[in-house]
Amino acid sequence: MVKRLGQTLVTLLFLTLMVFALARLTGDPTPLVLPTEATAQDAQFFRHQYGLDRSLPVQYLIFLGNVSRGDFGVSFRYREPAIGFVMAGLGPTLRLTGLAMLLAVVVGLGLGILAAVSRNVWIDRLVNLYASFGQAVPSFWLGLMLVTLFSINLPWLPSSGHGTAGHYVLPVITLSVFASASITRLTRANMAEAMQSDFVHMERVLGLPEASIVLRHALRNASLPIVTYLGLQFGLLLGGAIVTERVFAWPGLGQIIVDAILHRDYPVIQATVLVTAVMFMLINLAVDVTCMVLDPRLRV
Amino acid sequence: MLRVSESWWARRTLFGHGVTWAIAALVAVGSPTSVAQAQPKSTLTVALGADLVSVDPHKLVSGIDHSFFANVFESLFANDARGNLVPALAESVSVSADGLVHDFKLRPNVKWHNGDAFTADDVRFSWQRSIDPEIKNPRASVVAAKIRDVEIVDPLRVRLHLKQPDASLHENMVTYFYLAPKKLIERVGNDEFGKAPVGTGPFRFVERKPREFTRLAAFEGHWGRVPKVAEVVLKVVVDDQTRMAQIQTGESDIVTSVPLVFGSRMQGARDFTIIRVPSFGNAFMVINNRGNNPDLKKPDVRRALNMAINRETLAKALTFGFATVHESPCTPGMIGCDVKFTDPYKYDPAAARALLTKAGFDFNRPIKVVGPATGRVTQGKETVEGVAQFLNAVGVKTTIEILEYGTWATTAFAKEKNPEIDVYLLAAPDANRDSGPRQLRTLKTGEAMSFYSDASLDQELTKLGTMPTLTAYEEQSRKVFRLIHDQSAMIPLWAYDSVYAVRSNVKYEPFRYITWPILWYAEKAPK
Repeated sequence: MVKRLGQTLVTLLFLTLMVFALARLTGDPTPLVLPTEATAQDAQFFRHQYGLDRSLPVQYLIFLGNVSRGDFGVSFRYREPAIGFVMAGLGPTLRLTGLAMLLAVVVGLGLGILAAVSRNVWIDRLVNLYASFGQAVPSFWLGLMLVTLFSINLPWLPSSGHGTAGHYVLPVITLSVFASASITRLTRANMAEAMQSDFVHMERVLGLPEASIVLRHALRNASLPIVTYLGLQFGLLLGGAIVTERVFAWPGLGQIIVDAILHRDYPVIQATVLVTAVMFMLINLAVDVTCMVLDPRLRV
Repeated sequence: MLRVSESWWARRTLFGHGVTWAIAALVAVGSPTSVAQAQPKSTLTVALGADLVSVDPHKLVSGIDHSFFANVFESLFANDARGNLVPALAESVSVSADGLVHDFKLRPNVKWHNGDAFTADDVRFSWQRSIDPEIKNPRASVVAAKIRDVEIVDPLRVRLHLKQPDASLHENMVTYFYLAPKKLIERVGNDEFGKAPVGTGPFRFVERKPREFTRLAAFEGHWGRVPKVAEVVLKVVVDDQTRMAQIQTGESDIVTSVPLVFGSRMQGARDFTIIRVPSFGNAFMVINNRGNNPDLKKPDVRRALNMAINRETLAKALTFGFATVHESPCTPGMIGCDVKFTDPYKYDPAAARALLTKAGFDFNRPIKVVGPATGRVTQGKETVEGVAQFLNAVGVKTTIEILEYGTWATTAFAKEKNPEIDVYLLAAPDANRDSGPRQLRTLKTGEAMSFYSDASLDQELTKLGTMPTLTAYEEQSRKVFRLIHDQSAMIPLWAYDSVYAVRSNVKYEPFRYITWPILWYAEKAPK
């Protein structure tokens, strides 16, 4: 456990360096932060005020010291603490990705199991078609098509925004389709393999109900790679949320990071990426723990 | 064209209940109050293409912030619907003969949104706050920094003493000298004021949810511009297509920054109208006569480049007609832009080719044309490509480089301009009828965005900032425009129109030349 914690700290340290360096690789923020009317003195004052006139190693050490105290600096553009933006966007993004993940798991597991137990019949082919479509379709296109259909042609749902439960429907579907298609494929493959195994034959011979064989025994055996994959998918969903949030004017981290990158707002970029990375690491940790629960051999 | 039926909201609401219950099981989290639920009958919803950056008028950074300031705050002057300068919190003004003292009589009975009376103290305080290093007002240089002192004569009279004459001071005050309440800010401090700003404008601030919306309410106590709607919601919808969906579904009553392609396609829609008004959103190409290409130091070559480009065709193809093409360095409507040229840049490829040959132009050396990617700059890439094609047609070889917006801006503002760049596409809007600051920044030697250098033009541009009267300023502006034209110091292209989509039940005519929505006179009828 101590070793694992040490690894995590080293990863975090490396991450701070990467984030710091990548943010600065985008270029000088001055022309993007200050209006065109700003004078050369204004620009110099801005650089001095935010310590951008210091050497990069000094800037990094200051950044590291501040981050260790939970201070991510002040947004160049909005002149407010960067961490405030992240925390404000975190809730909407987590709600969106959490619901999308939930939907993806329900749809993916359901369709995957259905396809595995109905191999090579029309249901299987239909599910395969959905899986291929879901992985191929760009999320921005899907989102816009859903808006056209369900907000404009059939005016049932709000086209964008955030607030009511109705606002969740289209973005959650849009974001979940790719993940559900991937989970469908993986579940089908693993379940199909499990259904061919000796213990399933044995359980059938013993007369166990088919539902129990599929859901309690075969699924448990097939679940290990699926759970591991879910952890990765959640990270992908956080990334995919950037496009979905833009299409649906969702006030989450995606819009914040895009806006920050476009305006070279280093403190906001750094805070957003670090917080997201920490979240991803925690999810991976949760996946590891879940895998240990599912497979006692991993606890050794 | 997609249509929305009258019963849209009713059906949406019915369905909405079903969806609410279905999703509520999944959403085990609290939801903020819905904008739609909280709206009273006369709420006007306006979809903006970006979020506000600041709601403190002395920390104005982004152009989009004017959508808020122009409705909540006021200055001594304002613009009318035709873009003309009219008094706002000033009732009258007299200017001394030397142009150094501006004596303002203030409008009586003006109230701040918190009920305090507006007085001369507020004007002096606003000036002091605008130049306070603590506030870090990035636009102080336009107005506030030019003022030496604000003298309070009596509670309704102030004298502004300038460091040097500035004939465009009143014009620039509209957007660069918003007034803020002294008493309130001294009591609550800058941070609190930045969270709950108080102005004298027709609307008062109610609440703001960053990246979602800002809500304003009509200020019934306004001195003369009482709004016709009870509430305004400035909604943030960044994506172009989603913003257009907002007007199609009726979720928004007005959509600003309509992408030109949508404006073109959606004209004639049943439920909303596409409205265009001219703006000062200039697109033009600056010529690097300080770079590595010696040909660009020759006025004849620069003139030939201007004659090689068919602006009308280019604008029609790229802006779908939503632009005012101009061959002069200023947009029609600006101060001094009534100037007439005896030799306008008439599109004539044969004459352009002959002029290039006569000037000894090296046809084997390509001209490097650089511009921004399409996105934040409308049709940036396509404009660069179009200009290059017209140059190719007269035998000028070109190389093209398209830069990401940040790189484009950094390159434009670089202290040492890249000598490899020959022609650079700039999109630099003017905030008002005074194009002087932009001409200075883009053409005077060594200025922030200037790739050009000419001693005589520098001299005339410098003089522009010292004119004592508006008449003198107009005449000097004409002189500058003529000089820019005669030297062919740049390649003017066009000014983009401001394009709005307005629902049929809303009565709203956008102000000419103002690129943000001014809403106090907008009316909304029940559906």
